[in-house]
Amino acid sequence: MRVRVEHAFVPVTLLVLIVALSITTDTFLTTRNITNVLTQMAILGIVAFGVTIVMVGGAFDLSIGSQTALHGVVSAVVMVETGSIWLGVGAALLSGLTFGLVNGLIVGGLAINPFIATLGTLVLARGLALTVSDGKVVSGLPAGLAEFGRGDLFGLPWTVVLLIGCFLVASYILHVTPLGLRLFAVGGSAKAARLAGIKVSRVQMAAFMVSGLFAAVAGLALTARVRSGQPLSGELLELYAIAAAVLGGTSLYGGRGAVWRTAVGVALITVIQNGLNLLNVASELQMIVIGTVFIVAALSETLQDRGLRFTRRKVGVVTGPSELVLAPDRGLRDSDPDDRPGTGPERVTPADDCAPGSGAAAHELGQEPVQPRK
Amino acid sequence: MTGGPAREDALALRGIVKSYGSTRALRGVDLTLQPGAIQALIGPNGSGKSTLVKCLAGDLRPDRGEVLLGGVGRPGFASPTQARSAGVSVVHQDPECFEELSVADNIVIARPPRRGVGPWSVRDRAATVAVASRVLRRVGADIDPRERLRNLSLADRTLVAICRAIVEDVRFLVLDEPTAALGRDDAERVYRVCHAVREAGAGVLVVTHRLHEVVTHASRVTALRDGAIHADLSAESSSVEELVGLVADARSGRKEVVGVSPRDRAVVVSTHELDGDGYEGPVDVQLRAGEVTTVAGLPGSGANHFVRQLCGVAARARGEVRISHPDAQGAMGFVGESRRDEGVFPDMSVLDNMVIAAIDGPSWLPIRRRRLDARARQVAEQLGIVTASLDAPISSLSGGNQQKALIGRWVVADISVLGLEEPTNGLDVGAREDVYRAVGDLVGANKAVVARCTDEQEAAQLGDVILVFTEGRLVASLPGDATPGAVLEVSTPIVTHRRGMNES
Ligand SMILES: Nc1ncnc2c1ncn2[C@@H]1O[C@H](COP(=O)(O)OP(=O)(O)OP(=O)(O)O)[C@@H](O)[C@H]1O
Ligand SMILES: [Mg+2]
Repeated sequence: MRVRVEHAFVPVTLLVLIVALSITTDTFLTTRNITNVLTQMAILGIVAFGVTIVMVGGAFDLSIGSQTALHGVVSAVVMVETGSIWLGVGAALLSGLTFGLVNGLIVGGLAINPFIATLGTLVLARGLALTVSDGKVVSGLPAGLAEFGRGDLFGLPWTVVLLIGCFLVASYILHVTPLGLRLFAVGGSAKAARLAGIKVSRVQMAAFMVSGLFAAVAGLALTARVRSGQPLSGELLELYAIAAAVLGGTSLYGGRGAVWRTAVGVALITVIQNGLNLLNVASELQMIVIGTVFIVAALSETLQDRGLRFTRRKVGVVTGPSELVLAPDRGLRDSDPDDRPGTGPERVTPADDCAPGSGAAAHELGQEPVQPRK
Repeated sequence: MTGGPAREDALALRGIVKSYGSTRALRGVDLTLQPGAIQALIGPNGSGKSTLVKCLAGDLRPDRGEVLLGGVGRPGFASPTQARSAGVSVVHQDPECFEELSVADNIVIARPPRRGVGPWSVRDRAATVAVASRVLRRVGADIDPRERLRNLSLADRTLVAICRAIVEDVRFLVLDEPTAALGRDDAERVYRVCHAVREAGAGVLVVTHRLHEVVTHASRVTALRDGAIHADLSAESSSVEELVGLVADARSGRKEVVGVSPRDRAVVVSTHELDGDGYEGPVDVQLRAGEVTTVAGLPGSGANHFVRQLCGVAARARGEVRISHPDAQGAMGFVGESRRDEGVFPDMSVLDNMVIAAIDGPSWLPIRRRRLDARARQVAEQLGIVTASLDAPISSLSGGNQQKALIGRWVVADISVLGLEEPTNGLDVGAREDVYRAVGDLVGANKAVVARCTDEQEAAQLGDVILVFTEGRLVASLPGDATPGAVLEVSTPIVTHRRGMNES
């Protein structure tokens, strides 16, 4: 396969960053920290894979952030009520599929613009999450869940296993199945797709259901990690997920993208945050750095696109990421229930999963503006 | 001679080299456009004509070589704007239009008329319409300047794009296959514009695959082949046969006439009192397996509406289309006249574009690629698709090769009825034969084909049955051995009125 030059910036930056961090800190390249980075990647990654599938099909899913909260809360409530972890898992998956179906029916069936449609369901899902949880954090989950949240498979934390599993499933759907190829077609030209005998609305509906399912998995991972249902979690998650996908080269107009490239985008965001933590950069400053990185990455694509304008007609990536960095001042921190003072039932001490190092670094890790983590 | 010393006021390309990645599209081309003359550029699909045009337009920057204008040399125009302000105006192959704007706005888009002074000026809508109407009249096009562009036919869009190119004074007008989507009358209009522009002292370069146009209208003709000048001669003293030789013998032995070997000729599709917008019904016709039905008719005759409704692509007002085929669902394929809007998936590979309609089986299980890919490669080979790799994005193919891939899509899908609109739109003479043969293979395999052909030559050559539309009515159903002259005769309105219905 030929690698297109215009997508080289993000992978190269990631590599440079990894090498630089390995040299400048002795904490980065440790099993512990790598596991830590992977754990931090999990929620954003799972959600971003789902949204990549929707975006390749030429649509958007802005509701995934609130969906993680909704499905997470649903699972928590069911677990508390029934005492069964598996019923909770089933309930979350069912809720994800259903919500995805609703999104799909609105966008595919009623032909409402996906941006406005899922902006609507974004608000709706948040409202549902608060309703289901009665506006409170759902606590008192079965004890077995804590073990699951802490446990591991062959040394990998369960959340990382889920991340890898979702990566494989998303790659399979997008790059191996008929649905995947049809998504590329629909995103490339819906009119041509219709004439080629593709049932456009059905394909888009399937994509939204996949995205809902992935949001449910993310919600479950979150619930397991913080051992509670957090109705306010996952705020702005959708924007970071879309940014990660676009950083990886997914077109905002559809028809172009790859799951592994989204994974690179997610990794870049997470590694930057991790590196800044290891370097003891204050969290306010971190947001400024990350916001800037988004814009520079977008700019580099634009510049390269101008250089390569002649070989390609459509310049899908150009306006991308810079548009999406809507609220760098809020960062991902809001999406971290651990960081929400007073909402977490039991604040997890950061010391048990941070990289070995100074106490100050450990403290910073606890404060870091990343995805919810244990 | 093209390579000779350039006149002060000529536009000259010198040693232009341009590659796309590893594809060398132009390998050192010299070309001189003289003011006050029409020059034609011909060559097989993928020979680099559009690439050359893009270099002239400032859309592409040549890797090497220079563009001389008014004695000033430069390494290509930096942008389309720069080319335009130097007086070089270009209409590209499949020109981009602004779907949601009016015809008038599309025409004046580069510099909309304004009212008022400096920063306080506002758009002058009345002047916009006035300017647009004037240009439309100059072209002789009967188009309402207030109409939204998306409501226009492909032919009218082309005329609008030409209007856009000549709305301001031009020193050089460059047209890339302007007549590919046009019927005879509209094509004549385009050439009338070319002659008017020429008489005003400007130079014209026309890219075309219709070689008779070259002989009739151009004074010089340049033939490209594999990105280099193959021949450069006076068009006035050359014949169509001579030009066909220049374009076609680059391909090896692909020139055989369609051998239709009809099979059972069972009725596969029949229309019952079909009636719709754009033509007057009721129309009852039958498509038979192993037969090509061509639908001839000038633009505006209703032929296009009829074919679209027959193929289930456009809504029909009344009547029905019955498909009598065992696995009728999805048995019909369609290749529309607009490759860009209705055909290609630009970012997908040629191979993916060709297999997309053939994929069956459950959505969630792996595609069985091996069989499909093998079949697609075989079809690509048969059709003679020229590309460095079938894994390259289809947007990197020349227009003609994209067309072949789209027809190939339905061959791979193995449908039982194929609808085509202008099947050889933008194809060189050799490729045209490839497509005719592909159609021949399809009917040989007992498929039914219906093709809308504005060109009476094509309608007569391809059809076993020729339906002719005139002024919104089906006026004749001619047998396959009808001559192009006969087709033209019934499709020309006045003659038809005198003779009445030929056949139902
Ligand atoms: N964007 C692109 N990327 C890569 N290769 C390209 C691109 N555009 C054109 N090519 C290649 O360059 C060569 C010349 O293409 P060009 O479009 O200039 O041909 P053409 O003479 O205009 O053909 P046609 O008559 O079919 O329009 C072809 O081999 C084509 O595949
Ligand atoms: Mg061309």
